[in-house]
Amino acid sequence: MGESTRMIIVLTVICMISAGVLAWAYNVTYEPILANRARALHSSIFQVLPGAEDVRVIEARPTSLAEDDEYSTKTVDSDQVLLLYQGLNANGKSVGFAYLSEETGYGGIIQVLIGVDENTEKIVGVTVVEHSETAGIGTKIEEEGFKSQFIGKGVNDPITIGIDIDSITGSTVSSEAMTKAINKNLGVAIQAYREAK
Amino acid sequence: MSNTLVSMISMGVLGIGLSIALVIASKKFAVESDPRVDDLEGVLPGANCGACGYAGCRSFAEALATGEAPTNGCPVGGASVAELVAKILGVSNSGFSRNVAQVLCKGGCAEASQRADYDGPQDCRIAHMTQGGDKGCTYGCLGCGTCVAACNFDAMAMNENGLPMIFEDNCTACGACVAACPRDIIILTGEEYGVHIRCRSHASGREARQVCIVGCIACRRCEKVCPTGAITVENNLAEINYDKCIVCRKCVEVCPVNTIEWQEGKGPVRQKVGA
Amino acid sequence: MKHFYSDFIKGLWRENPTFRLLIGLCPTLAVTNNALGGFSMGVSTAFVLILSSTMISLVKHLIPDKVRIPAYIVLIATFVTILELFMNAYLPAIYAQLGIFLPLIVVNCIILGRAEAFASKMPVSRSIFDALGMGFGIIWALTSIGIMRELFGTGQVFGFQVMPSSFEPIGMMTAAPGAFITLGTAVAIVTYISDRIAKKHAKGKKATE
Repeated sequence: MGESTRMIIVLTVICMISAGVLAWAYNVTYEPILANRARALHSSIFQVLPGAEDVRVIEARPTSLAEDDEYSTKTVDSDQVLLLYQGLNANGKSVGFAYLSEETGYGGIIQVLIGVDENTEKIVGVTVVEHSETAGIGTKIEEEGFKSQFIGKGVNDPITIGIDIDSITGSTVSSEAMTKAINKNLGVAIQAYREAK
Repeated sequence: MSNTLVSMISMGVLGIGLSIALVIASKKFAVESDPRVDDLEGVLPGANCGACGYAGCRSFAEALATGEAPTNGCPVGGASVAELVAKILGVSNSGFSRNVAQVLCKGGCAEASQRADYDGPQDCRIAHMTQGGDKGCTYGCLGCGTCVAACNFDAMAMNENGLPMIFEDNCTACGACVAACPRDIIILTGEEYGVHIRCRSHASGREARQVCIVGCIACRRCEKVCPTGAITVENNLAEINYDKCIVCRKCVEVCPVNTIEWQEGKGPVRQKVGA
Repeated sequence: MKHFYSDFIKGLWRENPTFRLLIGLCPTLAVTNNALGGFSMGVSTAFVLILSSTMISLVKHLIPDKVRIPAYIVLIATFVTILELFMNAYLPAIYAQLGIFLPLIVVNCIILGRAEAFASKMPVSRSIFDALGMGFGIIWALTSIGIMRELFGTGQVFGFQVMPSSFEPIGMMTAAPGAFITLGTAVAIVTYISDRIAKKHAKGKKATE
């Protein structure tokens, strides 16, 4: 067996064995990974919708979405689709819905999940799903003291940073981005939810 | 199951394709080289320090393979490496002589006078640039320990007399101290040579005597007594040619100012043929 | 036995990859903004290092010299991907924190470095001890950097408050400059101690002028 043949055989065998092992690892971990993702989203939804114990996904097609919002929506049949997560309580009754919205913060996209009450149509919970803000400074947008300021706000309530919402000292950009993310699609989402119901 | 098969086949195809490409490349771009060079490089220390005078261990190995460099050319590796090199090259080991550093100045705080107070940074090179330093003798050791700082092998230290001393066991003859000394008073020479003229002063006898009690006064007694003509006095300074020195120590006995020194336990050395 | 001991112990201090050899610094700087990040990165790297060193040492005679690098890289990448998948499945929080630096272990030079410098030449048993030593060296190095940064940056260690409440966190320490400052200080301290030890050894030897 020449050296060249040996090189080819050895490399091919190594590639195939590693592919086999990796495929096995992928198959073993596929279910847990999916479950993790769903659990992560569900736990956020349960956080912003008090009383919810199950989630139903509604694909709403709102007429007017804020522009440059390509992350929380996806395009289906050339329509912009806004995913609304309807929270159902133990009896299967709707307690409200949650939706994702995002805005560019200081270090990148800030993605927030906003929970809206079924009857009052006011915000009942806000949580930051994803962000890359400066640790120790911008990350304060995750703190309860800041987030709770949005609770109880409805589409007709002004949500202006500096007036209705106290921004966080040292992280003006992050606070503003968060406020903007919550502000921009609230009316659209509520409208879409009404239509979809 | 199916994705296992798909991934194995796709990775297998990738593997075959790329390895064929590698085989072609290795054939097409093969460089003819002396196989001994790799072996030689393998036995060298691999520090690429350049003490052999070549750009690194690889180029030293190439020079060895062409017969250009001596088998004992690696000072860091020492005798053991020289032996391995000689074995690979199939030649007899040309007798390894390890080099060590020697300090050619005896004028410490006790022997040499000061002509000024130097208050600047404790670095000989800076002191030397400052009007030639604080020492009466403008050729001798400035005593700031720049050579000691340059030594990476813990082979040097300053003694209480303000002179560097060399731990020859640790010395690898890398030459860092030689390069660091602004007065050029450190040299590298064969370990077996035990007689050294520890002065670099070109000042006339009288001037030398005024600033240092162990400085060479160029009396020429050593030159006259040397049986092999290894010592010559030029420009008010006796210098020793180590190639001719047999470490008979006659010069040590006649030196009136104890500039010439014998390191106890060293020598005598038989005169080399053709030296 | 003597070999095993010295193979293992050298990675901890004398040839510590992070503090002495200064290799694999990308993750060292990037994910050590808290103690847990440093520790989990250290463990991940050590895990891959131990498996790949063992594996490469086992198959070293089968692999032709010319294609050893691609072969090693495929092996290392396989172990890293396995680690990545299992972490995503069972430790999603740490997986999220390590982010891109988890797959980047493939190109961490300590892994291929040990494969080339040690595992490909030495018997399996010695390679395992070498990888263990280097692995634990990385773990303690990254964890200590993480602890220092978290302590000064947030006043906590592993998420537990240790500093008194009057302590004002130095926000910079958890950001990029803090990584460089901490690493530089740590390298300086380790080098200083090493020098002291070396000097002690050098003393007492016969001196010639």
